[in-house]
Amino acid sequence: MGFLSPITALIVAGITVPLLVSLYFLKLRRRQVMISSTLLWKKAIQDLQVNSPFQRLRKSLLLLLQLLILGALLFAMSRPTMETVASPGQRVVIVIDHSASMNATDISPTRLDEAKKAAIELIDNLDTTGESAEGGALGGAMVVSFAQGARVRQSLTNDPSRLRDAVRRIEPTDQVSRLGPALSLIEPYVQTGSDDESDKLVVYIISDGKVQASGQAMSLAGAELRYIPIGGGPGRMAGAADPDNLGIVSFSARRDFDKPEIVQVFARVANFGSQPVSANLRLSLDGQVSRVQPINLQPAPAPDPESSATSTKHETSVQFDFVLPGSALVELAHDYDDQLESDNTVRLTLAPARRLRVLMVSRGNAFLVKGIQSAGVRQLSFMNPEKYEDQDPLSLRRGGWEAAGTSGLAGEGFDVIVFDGYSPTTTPKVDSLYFAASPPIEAIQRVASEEGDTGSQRVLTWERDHPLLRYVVLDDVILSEPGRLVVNSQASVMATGQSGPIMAEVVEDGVRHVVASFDILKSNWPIKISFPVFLGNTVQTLGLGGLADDAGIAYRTGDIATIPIDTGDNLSYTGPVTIDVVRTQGTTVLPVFTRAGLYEASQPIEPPFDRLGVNLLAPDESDIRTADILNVSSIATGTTATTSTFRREVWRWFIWAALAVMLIEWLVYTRRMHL
Amino acid sequence: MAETITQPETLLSPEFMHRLDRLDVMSRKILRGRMQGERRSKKKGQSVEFADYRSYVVGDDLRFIDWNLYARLDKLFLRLFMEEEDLSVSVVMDVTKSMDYGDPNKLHYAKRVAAALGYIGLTHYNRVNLYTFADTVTDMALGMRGRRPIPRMLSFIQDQQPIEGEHVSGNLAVVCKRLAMLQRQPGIIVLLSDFFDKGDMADALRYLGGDKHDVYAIQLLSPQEVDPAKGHILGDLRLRDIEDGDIAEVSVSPALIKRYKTNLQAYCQHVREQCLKRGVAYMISETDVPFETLVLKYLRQRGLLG
Repeated sequence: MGFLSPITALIVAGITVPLLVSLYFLKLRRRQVMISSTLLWKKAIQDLQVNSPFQRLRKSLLLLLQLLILGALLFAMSRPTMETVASPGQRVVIVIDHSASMNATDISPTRLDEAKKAAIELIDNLDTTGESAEGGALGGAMVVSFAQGARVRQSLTNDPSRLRDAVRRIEPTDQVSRLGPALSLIEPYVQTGSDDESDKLVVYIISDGKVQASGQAMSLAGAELRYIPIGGGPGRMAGAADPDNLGIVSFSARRDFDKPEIVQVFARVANFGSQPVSANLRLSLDGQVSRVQPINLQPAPAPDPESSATSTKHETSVQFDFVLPGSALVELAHDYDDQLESDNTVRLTLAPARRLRVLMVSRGNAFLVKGIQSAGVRQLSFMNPEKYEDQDPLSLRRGGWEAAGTSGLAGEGFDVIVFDGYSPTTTPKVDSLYFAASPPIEAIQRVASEEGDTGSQRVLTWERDHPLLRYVVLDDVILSEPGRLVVNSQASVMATGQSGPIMAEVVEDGVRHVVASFDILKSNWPIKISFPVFLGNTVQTLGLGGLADDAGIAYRTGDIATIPIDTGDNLSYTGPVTIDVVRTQGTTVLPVFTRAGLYEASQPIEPPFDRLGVNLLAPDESDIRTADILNVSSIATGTTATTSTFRREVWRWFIWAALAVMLIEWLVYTRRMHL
Repeated sequence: MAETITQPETLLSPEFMHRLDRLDVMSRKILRGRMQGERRSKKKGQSVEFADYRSYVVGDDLRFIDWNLYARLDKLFLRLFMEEEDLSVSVVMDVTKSMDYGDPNKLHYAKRVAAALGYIGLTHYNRVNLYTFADTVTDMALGMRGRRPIPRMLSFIQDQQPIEGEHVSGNLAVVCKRLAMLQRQPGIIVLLSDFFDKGDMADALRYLGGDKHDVYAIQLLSPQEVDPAKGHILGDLRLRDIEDGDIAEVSVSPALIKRYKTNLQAYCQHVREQCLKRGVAYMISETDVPFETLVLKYLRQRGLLG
């Protein structure tokens, strides 16, 4: 410890200490007592003062405390400094992980709090005086938080209080953590830097190392990365407990295809702790416990980055079957007391058993009829184009359309309309699929093949990740006179033939239109496996809003939920946090879920959207063992880093100490006064 | 009869007065009285107690000639009898403000002692004089004799109040000098005081010493003076002298208390030595000693009462 201005403090001490002592004697509040004679007392005082001149000071605790306060203030005045380890004057980025695993309680209270503490310590140690140890100016520091996405909490600044505020404002989430977006956010700052060492960007990543690399090498060229691991595990920090977490890492429900009232619930539970775990899994339906199943799991094997083989003894799959035709909230929870709360309970809302109602506007297409029927629709109605044009477009959606001349159940609204070789004159109000036809909208227009162009075409490319084209292989499909689509930027092309886009989709006014320019009767597609798969995907996706596979609705943290039903205004969901919904073009879009839990709608709306289950379901986050190495830039970023020291002023400590002693003095004083 | 004179009941109770009737004021010296009393005098006189014979000279009272002796020896002898005289009992009471202190109060205690001594004196036909003093003799009741002035004596004592006023502090030297002038007749003088006098004690007692008077000094101290802790004298204090307003600022510690007690002992010893030096009988009493015990036991032990 050193002092910047000891002389000043000494001079002030020389004046104030005797002053205080003398003031103490002058100002001492004495209780006046009448006595018969002061004769003997005076003599006693004289005797005693001769024997011990400091008798008065002996019992004066208050004076002692006042001297302590003065001492602390004088110390502060002498501007004491301490040598502190810190980065020398570069620009500093503090990246804080606030994903689900950072809520683990292996460090009290949570890893996130510990990370914030580490960050604030880092900020405290920053030389914010504007001059670095090398004499260059500090380029400032910024704070970035990341979970599923990254966010700049505080842009580059030299103001430590703003940095600290930014760190304190970081709230916990239950999302997965992806470091990539955070590094992308930082990247521009690296690029503006020069080769000058003092302008180098130092990036502190405060995390438990559970970041999803998603197979891509993360890199941040030109910056110096330092990883500060938080939490227990291989890279365990002092004071952290052994990681101990039992997590439900997958959860889904499915209705039986033939008997929709039969529900199957699947879940996978994994132990990420170092001890064997025995627990009970409890399945509840609408809050009523339905099943309890005991499980025993071995400890998780040590994470080995070299081998991808995982032991299966530390995890198990469970299945529950029950009969439930209606809607219900299905909740699965385990009763093991572990360090991560958010993966202990998962829930989903079971949709009522139902099948799709599809209208086919066609002059006859047996292949298409077979294909749609195989897609598991409840009702398939037929109309010819003339009959269709007579209907009120809204009645087709809501029900009450003119049923005469049609077959099948009449009156109810349709979920999907399939147009086969007929382009409607008005835009349908129901999600639609078009073959050799197109809706009357600008975004997608079909151009028929020119006369004489009889050449067969193959499909050149298609979006294999598109939900409608999942498991659809178009390699061997040969199309005759496919025509082409003219699409604008609103539409997205799904498949492209030799003459241009042949499949595209667009969402207009909340209605989804999937357009294929070709006639299936002029292709070999109907006899390919991919055809019923495509129809199944499309009808289910359009009709059930992407919920075709699962009988229940559940979201993961980080998802953006779209509610495909017409909700009223002022709808909000209350759960771990309150979510206000945004309505755009007839669809209700919820913001990104940050916390796992059950969200309930503020107004009664149609099930299953009245209760939304949001789950973590991320094995990487449930595995709360801290990684000791963070692989970024394909160079392992360890915990070691070169540091330099600088002298930090610590006068604030003494001011605080003085205030504390002053408080004690006040307490002592009031105590004396009342005694 | 005793019941009728007990108006100031706080001083003497009838039962106590009854017990006092059996006591008398004793003097260590045979002092010359002025009037005939119940006390044997050095002089020969007209009591019933035979003292001596002497030869008849012309002019003697023929009634005192021992005719039996004349028959036997054929000489005239005169029978001499002991003369009985009264005794002057002076009770001098300190009424400075320092006496109005302590629990039990020193002044009240002194009043009771004075009343008891006065009562004893009067019941035995002694000449009782009462004096009070502060910086000088402030009040007096002289020449009381016999039972009749008992109420007067008691009300005189009862009416005594500590002397108020700025810087009225005891000055024993002035008081003793004045007493010596007032009390010309030999007799017993009982001084009731705390003797907290900032003047010279030896100088004061000088006036009362000698064979003329039989002086008793009774020093009264309150328990709070003997042990300051009983008076809640603790902590940082501003001690104010009740008499002269003198201030002593003290931070009372166990060491200081110890020192104070040592000083008190030394002071009492000093008073005692000065008394002895001047032939003054000295005794000390704390006011928490029951007043009856002081009178009936201690004063008898000291020979003041018998």
